[in-house]
Amino acid sequence: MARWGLVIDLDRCTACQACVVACKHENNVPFSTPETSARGRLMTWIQLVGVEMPGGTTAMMPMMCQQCDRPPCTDVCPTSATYLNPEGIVAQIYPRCIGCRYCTNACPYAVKLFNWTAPEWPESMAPMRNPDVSIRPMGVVEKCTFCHHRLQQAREEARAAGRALAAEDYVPACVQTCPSDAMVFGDLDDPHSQVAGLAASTRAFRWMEDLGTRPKVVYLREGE
Amino acid sequence: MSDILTRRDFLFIGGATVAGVTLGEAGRRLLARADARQGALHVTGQQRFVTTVCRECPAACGVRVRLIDEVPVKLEGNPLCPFGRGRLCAKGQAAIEGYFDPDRLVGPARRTGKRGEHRWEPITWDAAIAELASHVTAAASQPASQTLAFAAEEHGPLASAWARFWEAAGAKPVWMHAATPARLRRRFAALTGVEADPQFDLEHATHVVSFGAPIAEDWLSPVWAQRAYGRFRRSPSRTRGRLVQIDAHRSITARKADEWLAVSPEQQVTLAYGLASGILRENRSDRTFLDAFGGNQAAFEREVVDTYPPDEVATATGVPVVTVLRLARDLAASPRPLVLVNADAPAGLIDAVFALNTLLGALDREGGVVASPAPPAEEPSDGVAVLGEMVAGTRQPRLIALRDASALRSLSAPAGYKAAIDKAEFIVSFSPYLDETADVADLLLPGPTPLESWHAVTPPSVVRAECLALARPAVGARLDTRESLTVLRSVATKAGGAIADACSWTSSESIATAEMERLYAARRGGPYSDAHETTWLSELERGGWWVSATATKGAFAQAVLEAGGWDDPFFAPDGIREALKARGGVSWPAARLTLASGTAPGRATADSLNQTLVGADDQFPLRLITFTPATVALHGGENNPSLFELLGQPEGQPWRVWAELNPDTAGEYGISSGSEIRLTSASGGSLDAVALVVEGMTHGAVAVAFVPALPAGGRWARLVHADVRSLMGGDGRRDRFAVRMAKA
Repeated sequence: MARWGLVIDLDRCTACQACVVACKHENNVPFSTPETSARGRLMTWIQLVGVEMPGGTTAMMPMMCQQCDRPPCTDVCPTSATYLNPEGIVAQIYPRCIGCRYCTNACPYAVKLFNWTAPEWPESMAPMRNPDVSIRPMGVVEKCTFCHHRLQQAREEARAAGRALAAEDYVPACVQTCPSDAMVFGDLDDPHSQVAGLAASTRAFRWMEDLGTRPKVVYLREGE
Repeated sequence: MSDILTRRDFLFIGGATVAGVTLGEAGRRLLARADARQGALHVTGQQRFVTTVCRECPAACGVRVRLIDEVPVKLEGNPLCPFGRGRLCAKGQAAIEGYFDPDRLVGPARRTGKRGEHRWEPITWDAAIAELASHVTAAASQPASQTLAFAAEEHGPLASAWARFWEAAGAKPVWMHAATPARLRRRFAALTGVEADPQFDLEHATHVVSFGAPIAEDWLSPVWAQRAYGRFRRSPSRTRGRLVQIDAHRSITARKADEWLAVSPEQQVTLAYGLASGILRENRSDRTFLDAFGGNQAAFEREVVDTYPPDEVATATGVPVVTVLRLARDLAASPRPLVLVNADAPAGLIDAVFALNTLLGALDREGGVVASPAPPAEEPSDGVAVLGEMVAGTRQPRLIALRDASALRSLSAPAGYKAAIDKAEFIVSFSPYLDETADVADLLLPGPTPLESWHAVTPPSVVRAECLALARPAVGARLDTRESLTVLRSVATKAGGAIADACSWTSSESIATAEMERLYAARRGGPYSDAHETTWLSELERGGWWVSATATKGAFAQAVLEAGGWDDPFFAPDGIREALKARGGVSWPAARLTLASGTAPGRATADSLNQTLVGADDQFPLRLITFTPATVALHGGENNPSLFELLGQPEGQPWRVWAELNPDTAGEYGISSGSEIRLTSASGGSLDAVALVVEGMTHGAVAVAFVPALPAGGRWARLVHADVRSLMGGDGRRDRFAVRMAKA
C-alpha cells in the first residue's frame, strides 16, 4: 500500500499562492472577510507562512497539514474523529467531531482549523462547490486531507479502466496547479518514485522534525 | 409516479445518498440510478472538462474547466497550452469567482440619476442598441471631438474587430498598455534591427541579474515565467541558477532572489551601465561575439567606461563599489549569464539591459535573448498618453466607450484623468462587473465573463512558436449579457454606411471561425499539443516536413477548439546573428549617453532626486514608492474574495494593504511590523495601511501596495479601502511623490 507524501522545493517555489486558491475551490473552503481574518479565523487549509530559517533568512513556506506518521492530533481526539489511515493520510471524520479543539492545540503546526461559524456562500456561488467534498458544519475541526477524494476518484477510474492505480493518477489540487513545479506528490515507499528521491535529497528537511511527528510533507531548502 | 415515497424508496435513496457522499464517482452513479428510478432527486454529477482561455491578464493561458452537470466547479490549467502547460496562477484559479460573482451586472441598464449615484433602470437590448447607435452616429458626424474606445491591450482577431468598428465610426481605439514583450520590441529593434519581440530564455540561464523583472509575480506571461524560474533554479543535471534582483522595494522576486539590491527606478539605469563599465574595464565581455557582431563597440565602450566609473556609480546608486564590481564579475564568469528587465521599464533602462546582454554575448544563444518567431503585432496606441491629452484639454471626446475598467485602473495615468473622462457627454461600458466603469457610465451593456465567451487571442510571445488561443464558451450565459462585438454588429447595422461595411462579422463566433478557416488554409501548425508532440512537430518542420494534423476544415476547427488553441512550433535559430551580420553589427545606444547637458541618464544623485519629489520638504519627508501585487487584477474582475485574502500574505495580514519601511526609518517613527500607519501627502490625501519593516529597503522611502479601491463595487471589493492613488492628488499618479507618516 502506498504511503502518500508531498515534497515542496522552496528553491523552485515562487510564493505565488496559486496552491492556496486551488485548495480553496477544490475543498469548498469558505471565503473570509477582513473581520474574520482580523479575529484570526481565516479559513484556509494551506497558506504561505514566513518562517525564520537557520542563518537569519526568512523562507516563505506553503504550510498545510504535515500528514504526520506520528500525529499528535490523533492521540488526543476523544472520539477518533481524526485518525491515521492505512495510507498515511491523517483523516478527519466531521460527523464524529465534537469540536473540543484538543487536536488544534496538540498540532504544533497550527494547521487544524476550527469552524467558528457555519460556512456560507452567496446564493449565486453555491453551485461552484465541489460535490466530491462535503461541507463542514459549524463547530467541527477541518484541515488538508491531501485531496483524499481525488484518491477515491483515481482509484475508481483505474478500476473502471481495468488497471492498477498508478501513483501519478492521484494528484492533489495544489500540486496540480503549481506553476513552478515546486510540488511533487507520490508514494514515499516507492524507492523509484520522484517524491522518494527528492525526500532523500541532502536539501530535504521536515518542519519541526525534532518533535518526532514524522511529517510526510518534506521541504527542500533554498540556496546552494 | 406517486409523489409519496414508500419506505423502500426512502431507504434506497437514503443509502444511495450516503454512498454518493462517501464513494465519490461510483456513489454518484448509484445515486443517478436512484434518480432515474425516482425522478425526484437531481444529483447526477456528470463530470466533463472543456477548454477555455484565461483572461485575467494578457498572457491568455489555456484553462480546463471542470463541469459537473454543466456547472463549472473548478479551473485547471490546460496541459496542451504551450506556455501554461497545465498550470495556473492564483488569478487564473480565482477567475471562476468572476463568473459566479453575486454582484455582476444582470443586464443592460441606463443611468437615471447623476453619474456615480448608481441609479439605474433596466432596459431591453434593442433599446440599448438603439441608444448607442444614435450616439455613435452623432459622434461620427463630428470628427472634431473624436470618440475614444478604451480597452486593455489585446491582440488577435477579436481585438482587431473591436478596433475596426470604432475606426469605421471615426473613433480612436485606445489600448491600455500591458507589460508584454511587445513593449520591449522597439528598443530591441533599435539595437539589433530585428523587428520581433525579444524572448528571454530564463530557464536555461545560469546567472541572472534582473532589473525589476517581476519573475515570481507577473512578468510577461506569469505562468510561463514561473515555470521557467523553477527550472532555472533546479533542474536535473544542471547547477542551480543564481538570481540577483534589483528592485525599489522587496518584491516577492526580491525575496526569492539570492541577493536583493534596493535601488530606485531612476538609478537602476546607472547601475546597469555601471555593470557594463565594470565588465569592460576588466575586459570580461564576450570578445568572440563582439568581434563578430559588435559593430561600433569601441565608441560605446569608451563612453560607458568614461561616463560610469564604479565609484561614481556607487555614489549615485548607494550600491558599494565592491558590490558593483562583484556583480559584473559574477555575471561575466557564469557560463550563460542573462540580464532581465521589466517590460514597464523606461526606454533608457531597457537599452542598458540589452547592451549588457550584448556585451555578455547573450544574443541568440541558449539561456539568452532570442527573437520571437511570431510576426510582431501592431503596436497599439499609448493609452496613458491619450489620457494625458484629455487632461491637458487637447482631446475632448463627446463619446467614450469602455470595454473594461483598465482605463480607470491605471496607476500611471496623469492626475485628473478621471475628471477628464467624466467630461464626455456620453459614456458606455461593456464591462460584466460592477466596477469603476459604472461610476462614470451612462449606459451599461454588460458583456459575458471569460468562461461564457469566445476567445481568439494572440498571447504574448514567450515560447518558440506562433500561438493563437482559441476557444468557444465553456458555459452558457448565466445572466442577460451580450458579447461586445455582437452588440457592435447590431449598432453597425442600425448606423449603416461605412460602419456597417466595416463589420463583416455577425458575432465573435463568426470571427473565430473565419480565423480557423484562414489557419486551415495556411496549412501550417496545428492544434495545441503536448510537449513531446510539439517538439516532434518542431523537429519535423526543421527538416522540411509540414504535417497537416486534420483532413477537413471542420475537423481542424473542432480539434483546435478542443485543444484550446493553435500553434506553429517552427523556430529559426540565429535570427539575430544573421540580421546583425547583414547590418554590420549592433547599434549601441550611444545617443542616450551624449545628452546635451553632458549628464548621462540616471546619473542624478539621491539628493537631486529628492529635490524633484512633489511636495518634498520637512513636512513630507518620505519618498513614496508604489507597486502592484501580483494578485491584484488590473484587467479582469476585482471582486474575487480569495484574491483579497492573499493580500498582506505571507505576513499574516490578509485583506490588508501594506507599506514597506526600512528598519531605521521605522525606528525613527517608533513603528514596527504590524503597526497601523497613516500616510498623508501634500495634496491632502491620506491612506491607512499596515506597516511592514523590511531589512534592506531604501532609507527614507515607503513602498505601498496598489490595490484599486471600489467603494461602489462588489461586496468584497468594497471592503478594501486603501487606494494609494488617494495620495496622488485624488485620482492620478505623478512620477515621484513625497508623504509624511504617522501612527494611525
